[in-house]
Amino acid sequence: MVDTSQDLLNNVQADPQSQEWSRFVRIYTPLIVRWLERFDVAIADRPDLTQEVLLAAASSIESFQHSGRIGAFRSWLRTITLNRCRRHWQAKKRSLTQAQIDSVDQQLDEFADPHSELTAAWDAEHDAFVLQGLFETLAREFDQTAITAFVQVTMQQLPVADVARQLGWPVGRVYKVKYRIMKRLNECAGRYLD
Amino acid sequence: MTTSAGQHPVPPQQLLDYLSGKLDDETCAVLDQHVSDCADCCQMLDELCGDHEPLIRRMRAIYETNSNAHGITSFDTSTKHPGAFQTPLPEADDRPLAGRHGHFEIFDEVGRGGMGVVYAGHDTVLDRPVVVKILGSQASTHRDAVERFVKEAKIGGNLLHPGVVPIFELSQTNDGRPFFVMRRIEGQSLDKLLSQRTSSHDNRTKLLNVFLQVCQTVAYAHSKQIIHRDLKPQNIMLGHFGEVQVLDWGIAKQLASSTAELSPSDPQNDNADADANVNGANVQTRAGRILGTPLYMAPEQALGKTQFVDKRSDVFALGAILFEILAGEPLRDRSGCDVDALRNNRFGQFDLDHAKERLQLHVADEELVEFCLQCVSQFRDNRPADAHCVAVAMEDYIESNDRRIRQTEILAERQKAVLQERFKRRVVVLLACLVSTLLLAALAIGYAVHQRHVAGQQTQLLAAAQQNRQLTDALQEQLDDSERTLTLAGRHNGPVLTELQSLFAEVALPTNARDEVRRLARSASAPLSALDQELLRRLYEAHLWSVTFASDARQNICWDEAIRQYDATLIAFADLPLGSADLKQLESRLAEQHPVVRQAILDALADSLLLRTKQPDANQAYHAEWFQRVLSRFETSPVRQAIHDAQKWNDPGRMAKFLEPSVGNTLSAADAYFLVKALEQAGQMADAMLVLREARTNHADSIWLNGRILPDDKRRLTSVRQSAANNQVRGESAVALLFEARADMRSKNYAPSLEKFRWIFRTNLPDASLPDRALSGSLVFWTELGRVYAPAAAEFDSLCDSARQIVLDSEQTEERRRLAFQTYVAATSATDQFDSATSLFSELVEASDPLSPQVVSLVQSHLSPDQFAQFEQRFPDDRRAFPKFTSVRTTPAMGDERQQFVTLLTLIAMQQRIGKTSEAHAIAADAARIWNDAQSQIEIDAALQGQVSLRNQQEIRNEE
Repeated sequence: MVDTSQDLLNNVQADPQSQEWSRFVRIYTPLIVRWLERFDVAIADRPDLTQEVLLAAASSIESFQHSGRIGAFRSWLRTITLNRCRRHWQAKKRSLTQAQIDSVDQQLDEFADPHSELTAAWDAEHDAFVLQGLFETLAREFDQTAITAFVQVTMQQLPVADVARQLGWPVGRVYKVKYRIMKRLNECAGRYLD
Repeated sequence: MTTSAGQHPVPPQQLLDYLSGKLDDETCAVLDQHVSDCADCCQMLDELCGDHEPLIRRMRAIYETNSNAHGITSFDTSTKHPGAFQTPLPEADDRPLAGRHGHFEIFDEVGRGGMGVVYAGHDTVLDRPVVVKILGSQASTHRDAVERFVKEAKIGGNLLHPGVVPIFELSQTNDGRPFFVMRRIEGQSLDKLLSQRTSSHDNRTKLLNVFLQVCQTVAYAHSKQIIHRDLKPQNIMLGHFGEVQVLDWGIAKQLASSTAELSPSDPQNDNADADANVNGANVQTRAGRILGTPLYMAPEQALGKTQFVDKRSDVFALGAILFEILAGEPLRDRSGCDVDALRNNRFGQFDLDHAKERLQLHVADEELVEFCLQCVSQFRDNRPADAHCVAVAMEDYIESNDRRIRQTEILAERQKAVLQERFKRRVVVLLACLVSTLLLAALAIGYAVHQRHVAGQQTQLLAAAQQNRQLTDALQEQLDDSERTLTLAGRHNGPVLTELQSLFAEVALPTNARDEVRRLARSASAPLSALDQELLRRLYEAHLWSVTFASDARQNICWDEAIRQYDATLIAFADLPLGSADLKQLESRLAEQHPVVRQAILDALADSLLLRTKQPDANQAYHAEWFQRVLSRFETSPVRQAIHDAQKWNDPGRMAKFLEPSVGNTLSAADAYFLVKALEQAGQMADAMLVLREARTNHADSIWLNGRILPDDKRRLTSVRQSAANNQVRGESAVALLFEARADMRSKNYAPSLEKFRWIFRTNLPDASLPDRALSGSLVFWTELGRVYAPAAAEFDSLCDSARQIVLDSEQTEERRRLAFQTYVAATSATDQFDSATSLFSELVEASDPLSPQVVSLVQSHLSPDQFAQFEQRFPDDRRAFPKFTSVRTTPAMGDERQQFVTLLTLIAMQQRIGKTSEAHAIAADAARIWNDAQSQIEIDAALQGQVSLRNQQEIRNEE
C-alpha cells in the first residue's frame, strides 16, 4: 500500500486547516471519547482530554516511526491515549479513594498490555471507527445509492448482477462506481487502515 | 463470445478506460451491453477494481466482524445494514424554528456558536426583543449534550453582573429541544471598534475604560471560580449607552474549588464545560478554533495543555486585548500559529522582545508597557494571578494618569511660586546691598574719625550678609528637594523607597554610600561584582539611617528603618539565614563572599546589634541575642572582641589599649566607629571624642566616621514610609514584599504579613523576583511568623507539601521541580527537619530520577554515607566534588562495620577516579587504621588503584 497513516499525519501536519485534519478529527474523536468514557473520565473533562490526545498525536508525529506491522498506528494512538489518561488520573488522584485508584490503575495497566483483551477491543473498535469514518468521508463525495452498491458488492460480496438488477442499473455502472470508490479509498483509506 | 461492438476478449486497457470513464459514449454503450453478459470481462473488471487488494480484504474483515459481532463497536445496531454508514447530518441541517415556542416568538437565525444556533426572538409577555440560543437538533438527542447545554445556561444565569448578558429563561421548543433566552444587545463589538481606528491613539482613553470594565467582569467570574477561556475582542460588546458586556460563555469552565474536589464518578460534580463533543463536528470546530486563530489564547491553552488552563489563561487573553488596544495591532501574527510552530511546541508563542518594541512605539509609559507584557508572559507564574489584579492595576493606572495630569498642573503652579519667591529674594538682597552701600557711604563720612571701628562693623555686616545668603540657598535646596521627593512619591509606589534613599544619600551627605562603595571597589584586591556593590551600597545606606537624627527625638524611627534595611539587605542580597539556629549555613554563606563584602556584612551585623540593643522592644532583645552569638563566633577583629569582652564583663578597661595613638592609628574605620560607640556607652565621652578625632584624620572619607543624613522634615520621612506601605501586593518585587512582611510581623500585623509571604509563594514556588539567595531567609521568617501566628504555620506546612508534590511530579518542568526541591530544602532546614529533605532526595534517587544529580549539592552535606553511596551507584558518571568524603573519616557512619568499610572503599575509589589522590589516600589511611587485617589491606590497596568498581561493591554486598 502506498499510503500509510504516516502520510496522513504528515498531511495533518502540513495543513491543520485542511480536510485531512477535519477527517482525522472526525474519525478519531468518537473513538477517543468512547474510551475516555470507558475509563470513567468525567463528562466535563472528556472534550479537553480528547483535544489533548488529538493535539498530542498531531504534534508528536515526528517521533512516530511506522514499523510496517499492521496496526502500528493504532497502537501508537492507544499509547498516546493511555498516557494522557494516566496523566489525567494522576492529577485527580488526590480526590479519589484508594479503591477507585486501584480500579483505574488496573484498567490502565491492562490497556497498556498489547495482548490484553482491552487492547484487542481497542484494535477492533479502532478499525470499526475508521471504517465508519471512511464511509462518512465517502458519503460526502458520492451519492448514497452509489455507496450502497459499493458496500453490497465489496463488503457483502453480493453478485454484481443482482445488485445492478435491484438498483435498475446496467452491470457496467456498478463496476464503474466500484472502481471510482475503490480509487478514492486507495487514496485515503490506506492511511487509516495501515 | 463476440459482440457487435468489439472483439472478445476486450483488452484490459480498454476495460480500464471504460471504468475510468475515458471512453466515448458510443463505445461505452457497447461495453455496457457487453459486460452485462460476459463473465470473463466481469472477472477482469473485478480485478481492475482491486477486489483483491489487501485494503479491500482488510475492510471486508472489519465489516464482517462488526456486522456479526454485536457489542464492542459503535455501529448503530438499529441500522445494521449496508446503509449503516450514513452521512452525518450537516450542521446546517438544524431546521429553522421560526414560530412561537412558549411565550417566545422565534425569528431568523443570527449566528452559531458553541453548540447551539442563535435566533432573534421576541418575548410576547413582556414585549421585549430577546435572543434565543437553541441546542442543535442533532445534539439535542444526546443526553450529555443536553446536560452541558443546560449547564452553559446555568453558568450564564449565575453570573449576575452588569458585564454579563443576563439569561432570562431556560425552556424547550415545541419539539423538545432546550433553549435559553437572553437579553438582546444593540451595539458594536470591540473588534469592530478596534478595526475602525486609524491610529493606536484614537479613542485610547475610551478603550482603556472599556477594557477596565471587561477586566472587572472577568474578575467577577473569577471570584465565582469560573474561567471564560475564549476572551477576544469579538466577544466583547459595547452597547449604545456605554454598557460593556462579555459574551459567549459557551466554553467557560467552572474551576474546582478547594473545598469541593471534583470526583469523576459523581456526575453532580461535573464541570460545567459546555463545549460539546457529541459528534466529531463540534470537536472539529473546537480543534479548528484552537489551530486556527489562537491570537488571544494563552500558550498553554493553544498547545492544548488543558490541565494548566486557569485564571491566568484569561489574564493572558486580557493582556493580548490590552496590547491590541495600546499598539493598534494584534499581539500575535498568524505565523506563530502554523504547523512548524505546532511541531516545535511553540504553537501560539510569539517574540516577547519584538512585542515590547512594538508596544514602545505606541506607549510612552514604561510602567504600562511592562504591565501589559507581564500579562502576556509565556509563563503563567509571571502573570498577575487573576482578572482582579489586572482590574486593580488598570484602575490605578487610569486614576494615576488623571492624577498625573493634575499634578503637572500643580507642579507648574508651584514652580511659578518658587520663581516668584526667588524674585522676591533677589529684591531683598538688592535692598540689602543698597542699604549696606548707603550705610558704607554714611560711614565714609565719619571715616577719618572712626576708621578702625567702622572697618570692624563693615566686616561684621558683610559676614552677616554672607550668612544670610547661605541660609537662603540651603532653604532653596531643601525646597527643591522636597518637591522632587513629592513628585517621585506620586509617580511610583514601588521602587520609590530605594530611589528616595539614594537620593537623600547623594544630595545631603558629606560622604554617601555610593562614594564609599566606589572607594572600596577601587581598593579591593579582587574586583567586586555589580551585585556585591549593590549589597554594599544598601548596607551603607542602612548605616546612614542609623546615624541620622543622632540627637533627635525621632531617632527611634530611623533606627527602626536602619534595622529593617539591614535585615532586608542581608536576606535578599547576602542570603543570610537571619535568626536560624543553623550557624553552619551562615558560615558557608559568609565563606562564599568576597572578603570586602564579608567584612561589610560583619560590620553590618555589628551595627545592627548595636541598634537592637538600643531598642526597648523584647523582640529586638531576642534577636540581639542571636546577633551576639553570631558575632562572637565569626568576629575576627581584636578590637571588636575587646569591645565585646568589655561589655560582657562590664570592664571598659579592656578597651584601653586601643586608645593608644599607636594602636588607634591602625584601626579600620568601622572598628573605630564601634569603639567610639562603645566608649560613648561606657560613658567615656572624652576618650570617644579622642578616638573619633584621630580616626577621622585617618579615614577622612569613610562613611563610618563622616556619614550623616542632614536633619530633615517629618513630612519627607512620612512620605517614604507611606510609599513603602503602599507597595502592597502588587508584585513589583518580592524582596520589597519580604521587607514589608518582616516589618508587619514586627509590628504584630500578622495577617498582612502572612498575606505577603503567601503572595511571594503564591504558586507554591518562590516568586520569580525573589533572588535565589533570599529563599531560605524568607522561609526562616515565615517560620518565625508561624511561631506566633498559627495560620502562618499551617500554610507553611501546606507549602512544604506542595513543593514536595511538585518535586515528585515528573510531568512538571525540570526547572520547576528543581526550584521546588530548593524550596523544600530551605523550608525543612528552616524548621530543623532536614531529614525530610534527605529522604525526599533518597526517594528521587530510588526512582533514578534525573533530577537527583542536579540537586544533590543542596542536600549533600546532610546525606548519610549510605544514602550518598546509593546516589553514586545510580549516577556513577556524575563527577562532582565530594565534600562529604572527608567528614566520613570522622563521622561515625551508619550501618554495620562491614557496610561502612565497603562504603569507604567506594569513596576511596571514587576520589581516585576524579583525581583527588590525596583525599583518597587520606581516607585509605584512616580505613587501614580501623580495619588493620591483611584482607582489608588488600581491598584498600585495590580501592586506591581505583579498582573497587561499583559492580565489585555490589558483589561484596550480595555476599553479605
